Amino acid sequence: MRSGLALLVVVLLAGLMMAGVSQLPPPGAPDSAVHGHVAATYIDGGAEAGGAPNLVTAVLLNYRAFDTYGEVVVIFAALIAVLAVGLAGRPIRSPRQAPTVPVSPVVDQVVRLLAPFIALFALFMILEGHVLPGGGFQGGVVLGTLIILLGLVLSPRRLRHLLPHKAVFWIRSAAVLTFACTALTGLALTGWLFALPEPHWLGESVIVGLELAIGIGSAFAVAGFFLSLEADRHR
Amino acid sequence: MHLLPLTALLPITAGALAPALFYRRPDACWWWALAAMLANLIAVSILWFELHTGTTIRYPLGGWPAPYGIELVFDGVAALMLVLAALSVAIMIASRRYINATIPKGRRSLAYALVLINLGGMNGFVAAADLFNLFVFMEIFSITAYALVALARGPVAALAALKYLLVGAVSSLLVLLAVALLYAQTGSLNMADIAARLAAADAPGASALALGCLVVGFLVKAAIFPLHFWLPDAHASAPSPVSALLSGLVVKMGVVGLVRTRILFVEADVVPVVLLDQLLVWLGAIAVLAGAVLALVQRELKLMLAYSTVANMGYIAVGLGLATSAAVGGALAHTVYHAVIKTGLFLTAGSILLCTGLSRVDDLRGLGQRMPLTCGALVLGLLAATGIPTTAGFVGKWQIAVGALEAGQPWVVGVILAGSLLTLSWAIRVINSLFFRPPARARVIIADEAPASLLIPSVVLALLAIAGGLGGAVLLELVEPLTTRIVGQPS
Repeated sequence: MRSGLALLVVVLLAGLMMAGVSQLPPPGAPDSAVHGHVAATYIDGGAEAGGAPNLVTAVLLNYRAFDTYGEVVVIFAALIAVLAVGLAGRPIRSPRQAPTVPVSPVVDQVVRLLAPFIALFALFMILEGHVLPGGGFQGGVVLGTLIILLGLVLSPRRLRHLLPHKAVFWIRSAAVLTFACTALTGLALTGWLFALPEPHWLGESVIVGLELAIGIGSAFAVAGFFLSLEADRHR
Repeated sequence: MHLLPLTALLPITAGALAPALFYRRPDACWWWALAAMLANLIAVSILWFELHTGTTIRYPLGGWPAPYGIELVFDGVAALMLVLAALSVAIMIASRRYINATIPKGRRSLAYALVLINLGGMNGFVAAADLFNLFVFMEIFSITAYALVALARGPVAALAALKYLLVGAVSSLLVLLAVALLYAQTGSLNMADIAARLAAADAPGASALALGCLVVGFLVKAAIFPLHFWLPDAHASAPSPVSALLSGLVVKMGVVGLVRTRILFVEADVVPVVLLDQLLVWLGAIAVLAGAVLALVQRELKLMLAYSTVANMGYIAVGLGLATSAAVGGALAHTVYHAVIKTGLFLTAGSILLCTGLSRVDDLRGLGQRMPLTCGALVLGLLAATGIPTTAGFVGKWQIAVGALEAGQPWVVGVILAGSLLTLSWAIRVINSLFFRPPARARVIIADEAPASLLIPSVVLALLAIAGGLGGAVLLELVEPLTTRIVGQPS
């Protein structure tokens, strides 16, 4: 009875949404408003105005940099939220009570073998993101996944003690802080917050720096989620 | 002018630095957070004076002009930032003792970081002139709000935070869907630009769906009946300064969202907003009665206050829905004054909870003799919440009632009166218990007056709440330009 009612509501709402969406111009129609107005200006302005050969990066880090700043803050806030809410603060049970399965030697060797290549690919995605598809967020997630993989193979405890506690919080906030710095640099050099500074090479290096900071921030956020979950397992 | 984006940047950057700088010294972190909030208050005050000496401040970020870049605007809606800034300073002063008492040392800097980022998110949200930017900053203050609820210990808080998270995430997705629908029709994300181009898209169904999604999304954030069910547990079980922050400030963001939506669709003029208005009036009227009745049957002080928030958000919805200039002005005034009243009430309830460890009204009998100033502040706040003349709660309710008569819906006046009487009846129950009953608990007998850091914000806010009605005319004058924008052209 109750699930039937729920199904009815879902079908009704889905029907309403479909009816609304069906009035939109078909995807890819050349004369639709999406391709004509703001996006067309971005394309006409091209790489020169946008500051990066990859127009997506130009939109993300130049035209709409403030939104990207907001997204970086969302990721950072989510990490802080997980750390603040997690069971942290309760005493850790002695490891004997939490039995662990030893890592198979095959997995161990494969991860160790692939790690440098994965790291290189992540770095490539981050640093070439303004020219090719990719960028800080994507490369950062790859890097974060690599940290998780290494954590699984080397044991999370070793991973946790790799960096001093204090440095970790600086690195976690790297993306937010770098963004704030570039915003102020923009103000100093061009008169507008979040503007890219003028000579082309300087603007491009700011973009690369931002991508790097976003990559590191995302990687440490992903790794932070994993470590927080892993720590809660022992409490 | 550069101060406008800094109102978002400054608290967020301070929040990002807080764990890195003060992880091991959480006591110093409180000073850091307070300094950031005071700096924010100064920045917002300067913007406020600029607004009232000149015209609306617009800031194109990165120097890209409006539809191509993101624009921030400091208009009548964004002027709410001054209320946010001032009340968050009061909350921060009161939270020191509370956070020291309830949150383990290692997590205090994280809690301050969450509060600071929450404030930055709200500042960005109220100033956003760009629809996607609005969504991003909504996510910032929402995510931090979920986490702040979960900071409290105990199964109720954890479950309430989870419920808040799930409901909030669905409402955020609805808003995102609406952003996509409007972008697909107009190719633009700037709200003024969308309003100008929406008619040309000639897709009233898609526009109506976008309107519906935005309204439902923001109704959840504003906790308007029947989408209020996440609020009482979340607001009552959160740490008390967080309750004040959520119930005083964060729910008001839903109202800001509704106001921005209404302005957009009044300007676009593709979908008649009459239906939306009727919906708001009916839901608001039910919320007023349901919230007041549910507050009446509660035993816990903080749950009463949380249900009272549901009722008061109902008043604001009724005022917006009536869409006459008196009613909308009343709704906006009530948004400001309810923020003051409810922040004060939750801070006062928090200091009672912290000093006695008791939360049920029956257990607090006779506390008026031991903590006269705190209990007095609570009484003043409760009287203001009922809307007795010359208190802050009176201005909005009176204006909404006048607006109801103007709009030819006199039954709304009855609802407003009934809501006030119900509120008065539970307020009297609390007052009776505090002052006219002998103590029933040993902890009440040994309780001492709250320390100054808790007492001063409570008393100041209570005095503002009780005397606020005297400044009602000034406030109504301040919101008047915004009122005409919301109501639209007289047709």
